[in-house]
Amino acid sequence: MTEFFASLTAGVLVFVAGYGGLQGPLGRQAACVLAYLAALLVFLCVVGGAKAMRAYAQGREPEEKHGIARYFSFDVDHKVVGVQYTVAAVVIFLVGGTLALIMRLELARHGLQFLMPDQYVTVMSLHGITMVVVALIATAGGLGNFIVPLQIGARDMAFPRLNALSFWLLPPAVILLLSSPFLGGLDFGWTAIAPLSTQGTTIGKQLFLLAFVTAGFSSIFGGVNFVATVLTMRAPGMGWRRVPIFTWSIVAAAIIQIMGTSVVAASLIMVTFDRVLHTTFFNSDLGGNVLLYQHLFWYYSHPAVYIMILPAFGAILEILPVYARKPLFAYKLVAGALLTITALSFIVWAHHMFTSGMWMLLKLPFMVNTELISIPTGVVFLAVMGTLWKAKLRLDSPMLWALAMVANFLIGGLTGIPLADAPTDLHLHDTWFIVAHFHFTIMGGAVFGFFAGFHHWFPKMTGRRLNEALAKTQCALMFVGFNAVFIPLFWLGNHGMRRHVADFPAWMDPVQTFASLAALVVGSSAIVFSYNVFISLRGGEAAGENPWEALTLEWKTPSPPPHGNFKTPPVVAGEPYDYGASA
Amino acid sequence: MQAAITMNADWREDEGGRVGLWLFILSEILLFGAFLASYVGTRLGNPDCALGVAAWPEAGHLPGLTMAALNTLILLTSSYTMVRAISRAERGDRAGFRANMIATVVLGLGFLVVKSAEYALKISHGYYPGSELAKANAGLSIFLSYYYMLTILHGLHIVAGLIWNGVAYYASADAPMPSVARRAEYAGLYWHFVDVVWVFLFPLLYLI
Repeated sequence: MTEFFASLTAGVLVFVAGYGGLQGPLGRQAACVLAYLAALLVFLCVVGGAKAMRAYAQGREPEEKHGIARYFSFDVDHKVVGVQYTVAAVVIFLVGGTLALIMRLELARHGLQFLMPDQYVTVMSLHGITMVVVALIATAGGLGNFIVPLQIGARDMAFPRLNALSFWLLPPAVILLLSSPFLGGLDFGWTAIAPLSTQGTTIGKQLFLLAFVTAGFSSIFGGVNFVATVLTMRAPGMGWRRVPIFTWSIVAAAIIQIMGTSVVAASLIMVTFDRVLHTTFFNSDLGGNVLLYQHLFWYYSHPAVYIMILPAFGAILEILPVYARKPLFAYKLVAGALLTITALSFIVWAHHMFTSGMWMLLKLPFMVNTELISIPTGVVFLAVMGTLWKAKLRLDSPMLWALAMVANFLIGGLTGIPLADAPTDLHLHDTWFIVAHFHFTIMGGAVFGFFAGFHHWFPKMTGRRLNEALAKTQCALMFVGFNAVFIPLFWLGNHGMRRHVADFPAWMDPVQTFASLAALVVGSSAIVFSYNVFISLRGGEAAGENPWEALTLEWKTPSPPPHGNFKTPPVVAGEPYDYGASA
Repeated sequence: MQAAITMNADWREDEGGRVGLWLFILSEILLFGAFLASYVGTRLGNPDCALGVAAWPEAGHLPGLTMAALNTLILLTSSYTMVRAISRAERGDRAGFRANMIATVVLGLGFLVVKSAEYALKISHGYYPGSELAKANAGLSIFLSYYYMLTILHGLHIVAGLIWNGVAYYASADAPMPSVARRAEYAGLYWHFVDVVWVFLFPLLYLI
């Protein structure tokens, strides 16, 4: 019956889209919106959402699936969803990385090589939004879904079906994004700033908005699920002071997902209304206010960077004690710091708007609030340094990734200060200095943190170990290549190289060519990575229960964990980081 | 640390659902909060539509106030039947639950019918975004923008609530009563939330 209702609704939507949109008064934009909703419904039914919904209505337990096909279906096991998220993140990362290489090739020297300026902006916009999706889902969605229930000793997430739904909303969003260049392209970056996004009738822009809102639903559902899971499903004995730091970081990120995402959805819905129904929210001739868009958008989109970075902090803070064989330094303080960052993240958004013409008096509080964030971030660094202090390090590949992440994020964090200060930001706004800054935090921080976690938990997720030599090679190539690409960008930005532009003066050529060559090194690291995963999945060394001799709960069950996670429900009797001096 | 060991016994097995639903409602509050803050901010900051400005359509000047008042009554009544449905389900009265739930669904559908009639009336008078009337008057244009967006989104939430209620009703035919009661409670939480949103929308859009 669920399928019947779904296909009926889809049919009605398609009819209204076809009749009202193409023939009648609604127009092409509305037809596009309705047709997408119909397609989304049908897609969710096809992958098995309708069946799961019916099982819910009838009060049946979700069915247990086996074999490789479960990874391509609406499977409710959190471990399957975690793997789906991780694989999706890596695939999208490779797509976004290819787009970045295309841009870097275009930028190898001055003048236009093979892209028109508008094509360059489309490639840039797609690179931006796909990488935003990657950074949002890789650690929080992929590793979080797999690891968090294991770490707290739970059987699964609180809402397994909702979990599957939040994953399956992503593929349609990504397909929409990747099809937009063929339907008119995007010219507004990943931010869809109004009124640029409300003007122009290309379908590509509309698809971007729909994709963003769809991914937003996915993010809200994921956030609700994580917080409910950690609140109510911890194993007996796991009080708040025994929750592993990675789980803390996921909770912090999930709070932002819950409290921020719906606001950005509001701004994108308003743009969609402006495009489809001729409302005038962002048309200042007819009572609208263009700055409103930026306020709503950045209210979410600044905290969104903490959805990306907090789980990465959590991952490296989880990893460092294992390979330093020492307790995590200042555990309680750093858990508090993660929550403090979460709280502060909601009152800093207007530092993106120092040049926007907003009310002058707002600049000071937003500047001060932004700088306050460096205090809890400093606490994270304190915990890192305290944990490493006088430790005998085991330099396995996850540890190398974690140390590389710390080094990168230090640069990313420090270069954020001149951007938080309104006077210096006036000079640096919209230049490549900002581009370099956020690549050091998001790529150098969030993505390196993801790779650290990926290498740390790969044995748990698959039961096999990665090839260490290849893993270390990849880490070295990516670290050196990445720094070589982006450190020169600070200098170029400070000398006036602007974002979103395909061309530049000839005197920049040597530096730009150097960055382009370095980008190829980053690209080659992705090839090493793919090869390593491929051979390790086929013939990697068996990992056993606990290859890294870690103490958290996920290592107290076979790799990969069986359905239901633990043979006997675990009871927690000690602290998560009790590494003695003898270890 | 001994005290910490029993802490999770505080959570019953079904508690996750209630927590999750409240978190989702928190997210929804921020969605409507963003819209309402934008609406209030627009009215405060914009010379075209501040209170008392001639261009701004005051309260009852637009057709449809009576219908909106009727809709308020309908939704408040549906909240009452929802409360009855939940309490019947908790007492184990299957028939009583089903009767009250049907009444809630019918009232929700009634709300949508009245709302459609109100849209039709407004559109027939030329009160819609992009109309000649709206293009000539900035205050009217921005008011209609907010009016249609807020009421359409609220309408979609009503539809979602109706589906939720429908599932709870459908499942109550043969499910054990404790599970019916739990579903009723969740559906009820969401339905009350949707009603409360209307309680904010009605004065903001029609009275002030």
